[in-house]
Amino acid sequence: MIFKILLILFLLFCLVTLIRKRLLNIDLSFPWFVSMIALAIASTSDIFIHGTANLLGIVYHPLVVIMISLFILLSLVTVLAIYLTEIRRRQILIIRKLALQDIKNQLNSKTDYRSRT
Amino acid sequence: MNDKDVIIFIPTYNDSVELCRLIDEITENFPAASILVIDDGSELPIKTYRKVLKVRIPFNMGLGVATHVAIDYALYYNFNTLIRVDADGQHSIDDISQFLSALNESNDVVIGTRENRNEFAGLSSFFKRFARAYIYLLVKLTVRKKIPSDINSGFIAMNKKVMQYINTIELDRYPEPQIILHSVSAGLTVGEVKIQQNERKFGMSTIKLSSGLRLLFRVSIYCVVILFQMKKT
Repeated sequence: MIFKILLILFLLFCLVTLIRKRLLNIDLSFPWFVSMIALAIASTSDIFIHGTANLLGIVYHPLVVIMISLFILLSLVTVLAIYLTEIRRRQILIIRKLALQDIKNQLNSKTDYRSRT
Repeated sequence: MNDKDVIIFIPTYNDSVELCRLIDEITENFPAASILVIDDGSELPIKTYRKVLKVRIPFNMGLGVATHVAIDYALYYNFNTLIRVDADGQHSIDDISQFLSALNESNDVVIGTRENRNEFAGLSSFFKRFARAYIYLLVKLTVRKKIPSDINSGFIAMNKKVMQYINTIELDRYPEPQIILHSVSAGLTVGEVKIQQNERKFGMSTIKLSSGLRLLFRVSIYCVVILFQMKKT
């Protein structure tokens, strides 16, 4: 039990270090933080593990921890994919704005382009 | 239609060999039309000896973004017609007149149906044929209306109404089926002209087996999403 808590604390320390060193955005760290809390609670609670194992018909009850970890991992990947999609959308908008500005600059700087101004 | 209202945009990705010839041909045949070259993150920046408008996207973003850039430009400067020509030299510039005539005949968007699209032999030709048939069937089932027989053709022309409509959606990496799908489902008039596709002399197609599979996946998911949206509305 103590080892598990130490492990969670170590992971939390890693997360804080990543944020402190600006390798991880603070907004993006939130899903990781929530995941760690969920993992800590779910993997250390006997009632939860046995209850879930009985509910899902898992014969070897500790396997529930692996299942929870995989579920949390999948959730994290989904959350990050959503973030990435939003970032890509913004990137495309910026590119379009810059491209139009580039065209305007070209048209303003030269008059011999075969294009209207 | 006045050529002055026409913008011909050439998206290019590592295709510089045929580009100068294309620009020369367009200049000769449509002297008043505007030309916009969009370099979609080529490894080496594309250079042209003739002065044309050139936009370089710093990294490869796909044809959807290039099309959006061209539409943004066309709408900002109030062009009436946008024509896309591929930079690999597979499209004949002479055919542009056909597109302009078809647009004049009250079509909103015109796509060039490649009559010889199945002629070119190659390792991937079977897969390409299958992919075309699959995408056609999928789009047809989605919109349940008459659609052009070759909806993957890159030779495409559209009027301002379509440009304004397309600007409200997000175009994907391979936007041709998307443009047709949305235009047909929005009740816009979609026409087609028969064209002969020239054989590629230089470079290679950007669609390989893996990207082709991704394309099929994208179109499939996209059609499902559109179906849900249509049901909602």
